[in-house]
Amino acid sequence: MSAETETNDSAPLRQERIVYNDAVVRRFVAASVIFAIVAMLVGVIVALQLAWYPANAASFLSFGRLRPLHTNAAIFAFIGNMMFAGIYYSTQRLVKARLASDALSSIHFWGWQLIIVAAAVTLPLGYTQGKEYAELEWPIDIAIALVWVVFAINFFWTLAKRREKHLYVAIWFYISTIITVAVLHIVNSFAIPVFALKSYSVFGGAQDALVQWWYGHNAVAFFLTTPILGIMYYFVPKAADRPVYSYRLSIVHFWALVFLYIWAGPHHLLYTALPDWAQTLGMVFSVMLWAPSWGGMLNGLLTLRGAWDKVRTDPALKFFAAAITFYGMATFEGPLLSIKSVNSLAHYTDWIIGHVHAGALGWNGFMAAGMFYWLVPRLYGTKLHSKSLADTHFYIGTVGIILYVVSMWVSGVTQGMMWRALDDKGVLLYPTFVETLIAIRPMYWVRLAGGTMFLVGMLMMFYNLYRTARSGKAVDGEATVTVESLESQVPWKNVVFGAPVLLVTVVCVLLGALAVVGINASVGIVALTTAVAIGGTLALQLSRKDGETTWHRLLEGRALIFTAFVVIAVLIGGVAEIIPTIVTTRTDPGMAGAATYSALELEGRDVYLREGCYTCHSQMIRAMPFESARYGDISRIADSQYDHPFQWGSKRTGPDLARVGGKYPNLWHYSHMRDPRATSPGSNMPPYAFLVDAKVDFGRTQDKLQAHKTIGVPYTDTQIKNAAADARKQGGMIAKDLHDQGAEVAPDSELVALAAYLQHLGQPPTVLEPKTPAVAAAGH
Amino acid sequence: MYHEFFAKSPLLALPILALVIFVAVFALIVLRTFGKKEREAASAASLLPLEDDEHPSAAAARVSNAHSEGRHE
Repeated sequence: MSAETETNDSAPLRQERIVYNDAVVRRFVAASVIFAIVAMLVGVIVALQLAWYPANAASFLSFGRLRPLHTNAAIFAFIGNMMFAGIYYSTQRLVKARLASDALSSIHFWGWQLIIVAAAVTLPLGYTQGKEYAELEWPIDIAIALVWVVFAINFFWTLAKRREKHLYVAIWFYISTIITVAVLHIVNSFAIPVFALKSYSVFGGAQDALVQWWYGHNAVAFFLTTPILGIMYYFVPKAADRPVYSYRLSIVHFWALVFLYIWAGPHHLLYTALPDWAQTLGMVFSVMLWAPSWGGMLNGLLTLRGAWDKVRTDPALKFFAAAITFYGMATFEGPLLSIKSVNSLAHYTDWIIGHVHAGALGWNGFMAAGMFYWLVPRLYGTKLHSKSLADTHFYIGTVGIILYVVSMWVSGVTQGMMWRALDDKGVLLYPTFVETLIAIRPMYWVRLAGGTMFLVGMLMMFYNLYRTARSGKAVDGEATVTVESLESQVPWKNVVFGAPVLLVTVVCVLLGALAVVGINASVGIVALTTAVAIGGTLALQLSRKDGETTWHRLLEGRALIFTAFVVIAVLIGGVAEIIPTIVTTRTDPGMAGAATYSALELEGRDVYLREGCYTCHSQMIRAMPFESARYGDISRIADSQYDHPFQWGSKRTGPDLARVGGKYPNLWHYSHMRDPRATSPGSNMPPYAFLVDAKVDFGRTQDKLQAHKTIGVPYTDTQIKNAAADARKQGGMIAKDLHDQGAEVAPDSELVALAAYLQHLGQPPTVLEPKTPAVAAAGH
Repeated sequence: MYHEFFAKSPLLALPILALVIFVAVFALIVLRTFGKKEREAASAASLLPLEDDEHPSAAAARVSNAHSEGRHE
């Protein structure tokens, strides 16, 4: 396949014929389209369940278990497979090399599908770590890490074999994705296994909240954004047949985005018990993110200038243009929602659900559709089966997104306003939570209609692509490339010690000095830093001669150094936020009031996690008067110190539960779980009558307490030794209390354990003497 | 204690300052990209995605594009 040709120069230039590995791209495309339909079908089902509770047909199909399945399928199965298809197709062509290993490509594909199947089986069965977007249990987490490493090896090995020295901007985004997702996944998944499919996060309470949202926010950033931006930078110019609007802007876009994104996680925790300084950092960096996000959006949209006639006729470009517009909308809304005053209204409401779906359906869904409509005809050497069907998909999808997003805005603002409405005496105007839910119920039907329309569009796409593939036959792209001599590489020292690196280092050292000097000196250092930063940037610009190779251009030729700089840019934010939080929350004297769970309460908590109660109930009373008026005293950092994982939640379809302990008698919980409408008419909560007959396996309780002790919860050896007996005793007391009021339930019923847990929430420290098990909550 | 220290620290003004400096610098660079000089300096790198496959899918795609454009008109 290779031939040598003599050129005019003395050095021979070798030419090589490459056949790209497009088979793996076809597989990832097929998997993505199929899982998109699965994810959105589950999405439609959970939307129906919220509007009409009888749709919670069985325990394993209830909202709390299906919602994690929906989010995992949409993010990791649909967009994951789409991302891999786009990365593998474009990388081979941009670096002019076939994927390094066919075997690794196959392992990557089949390994990822196996993980998806494992998720689809375990999540409905209730195996979950109880952390949003990271629910999968530890063996699957390990599998994800391994498959990701296979992906990374395959990708970087391909870069090492590249025939094109310069790395195009899309490749930078792929590098940042691979590195950052690995770091996020591994750190957030640190857990202590108890059984084959049961583990507890090593992080607890506020620490876990920060780590989880550092992960959760950056899963959005580095799984749903950066790889798709890379795909945008390749496929939009390709489809429009014109280069990206500004290469310089893409450089600024890239570095600003990867550096800033990682800091923004705490905007998910505003007004919570997280330390104020971390909240402020999260808010300010989120606002900063608006700039590079819109820089990228403008760069994408302006690439289409002069090609708008094509946008009207080409379905792929139509989807790309709309997707980039939705990206602009979502990345404007994100910083807006991160401003504390706006967040106080929007947090825990459907506004957030509308925001994420503007991104997920509009940006991710439409980028995927555009890429598939462009790619599949080329992968099968044919033309698209039906352009008009693709156009119909575009319009039905767009209307679907608008219905979805607008209904959630209306719902979110309505409910948020009702929650905070106080009369002139400071009394809640809508004290019953369920009346704020009934008010927004019509919007849930509108959302269902919008989501269904989007699903119908995806079914049209599935049919269109299937017919397209059937009308052609699989073909692999080919190219003849000239092998560049590596001798022309610039010495690494010129890159690593380039003027921009030195400038950034000096600025960082000056900023670091702020930590060790006094207030007055700080002012001087800030002024000096500002002067150095602006003056240095100007000097670099002015000293640039026309036609001279820029430092960044040199960097683009050095994949390893580029990757190292990405690692540094990404890690700074994570380290600066997470390490101080872990150190300060561990030694905070305010922790003295933290209460451990009794053995039975811990078992009840596991039921709470298994049923995904956190998908609808928060456990975090924010520092606002209307929150305290409704739910009780604001949550303290100590309240959740021993929660592995934390259960602060992110959405209130039901009320906050941080201080529900002692609020109602055991009989209320018994009736409420069996039929939520019996105690709360109008509620959309699924019934949990099956918990009455389900039994807790006390044979495992001791191991669970032991695991908690290992990760720092102060259980005594006696408590661990007597765990099962203590749990039975406390269960017996609750069962007796229920019996006295006419309800028959076994002491080892899961419902009893769950009631024990709920009665503990927000209560003063439970006395956990081994011979007198915790009963503080049992006597109501 | 730590929270109070951080909550009252004048260091909290720094992120705000960073925000202002960042947005200003970013806006300048974005404006600069609209300038004539930048547009002329179309980097060779930006042309990388436009290179087509040689055979056979690229040829088929070109046929597809020509076909679809013709049909629309």
